[in-house]
Amino acid sequence: MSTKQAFRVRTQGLRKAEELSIAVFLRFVGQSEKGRWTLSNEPGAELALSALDTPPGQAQANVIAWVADAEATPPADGRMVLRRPLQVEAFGHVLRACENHLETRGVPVAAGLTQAAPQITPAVSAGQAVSPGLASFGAHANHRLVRWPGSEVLQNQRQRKILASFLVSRPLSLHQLVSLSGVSEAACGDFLRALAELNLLESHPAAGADAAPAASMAEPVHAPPRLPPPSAATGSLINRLRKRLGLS
Amino acid sequence: MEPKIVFTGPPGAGKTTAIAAISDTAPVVTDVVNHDAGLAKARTTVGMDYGSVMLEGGEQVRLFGTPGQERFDFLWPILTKDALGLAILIDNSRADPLADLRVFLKSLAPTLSQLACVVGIGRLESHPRPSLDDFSAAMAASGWVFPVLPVDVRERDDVLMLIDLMLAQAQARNMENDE
Repeated sequence: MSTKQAFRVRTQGLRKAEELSIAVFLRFVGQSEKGRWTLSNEPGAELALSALDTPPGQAQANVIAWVADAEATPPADGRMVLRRPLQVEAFGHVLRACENHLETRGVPVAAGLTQAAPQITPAVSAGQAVSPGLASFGAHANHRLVRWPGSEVLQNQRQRKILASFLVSRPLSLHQLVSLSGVSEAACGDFLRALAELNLLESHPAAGADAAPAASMAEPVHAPPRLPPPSAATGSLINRLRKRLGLS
Repeated sequence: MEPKIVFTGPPGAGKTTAIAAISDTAPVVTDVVNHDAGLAKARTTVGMDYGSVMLEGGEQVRLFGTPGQERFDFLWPILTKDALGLAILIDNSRADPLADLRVFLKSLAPTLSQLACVVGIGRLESHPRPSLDDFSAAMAASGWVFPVLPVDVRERDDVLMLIDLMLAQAQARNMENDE
């Protein structure tokens, strides 16, 4: 495969929270030098993530990976197994293995992958509640602008310019953006979505939920090397200056 | 140390006017008669401009304008050190506004990563090229991401918008990590 391909992954019989987790995971590990993965409900996807109790015959894809509870015994059919709770890096390994499989075997074979997906700290686990509003932007991800957006995103709205400015300084989670701006979660989510669609956003899983930024980020060339320690005095000054200038 | 906001940019970009737009007092200016034939203005700043915004309790935020000529570039990082924010004003009617911006980004690089910074582009209506997007792209190519806005420094609201976005960055930098 010399050029990037479009790969599709579908879920079958997974819990709702798991489906949302997969959508989030794809933002982080859904792209490689070989191709880009998207969610699909169509049969014939390159990869199917199927719950163990999926009725026979419904799990149709070039490659199938089982999704199983930690203690469950999956069938000894050589297929990959993703253990619950789902973990982003394990999922990434499944995608990469699937890409390699498709590359070496040509197209359709619904078995033959025996790599065990490693167990690592989850970014979003299947047990966690992930609201639909957060799912597509990763409640547990940090986002940062990689370029100042144009008018198609900012729409000459002060609120959007402010939101974008927050994302200039440091990577922020959706929760942090909501907290800083006082703007609704839905509006912040819409804004992040608009940025992401134009590839203006760099998103990475947080080391922990809403973790501190720099350590887990791929550093831009001129990223601030270290954030200054939080200062109540500075926060108060900013608020007073805003008030004084009529900006709050 | 009293907080400060710094305005910088090439000659004629409107630093003195921007300070005057929001300062509580008439700015102290250090303009002299311009003898530089390359500058289409009668007077130009050779030291720095100064204004202030008074806050409740008597505290004040100082507003500094740097001299714009490149020969004073040694002053730029000195004046911007520990600033609450920096506004880089660019005059789009000059010969190469993108090059002007690069000069300031390069000279201020060591301090820029610590600063809340905005870029205001003036005279866009009469000189639409380069566009705002061109400036964003040029900055991104150098690894910088800052707000880029059209600005008429004679308009207080335009200058306030620059300050608004500057303070948003400062606020984000200052927020508790676990907020």
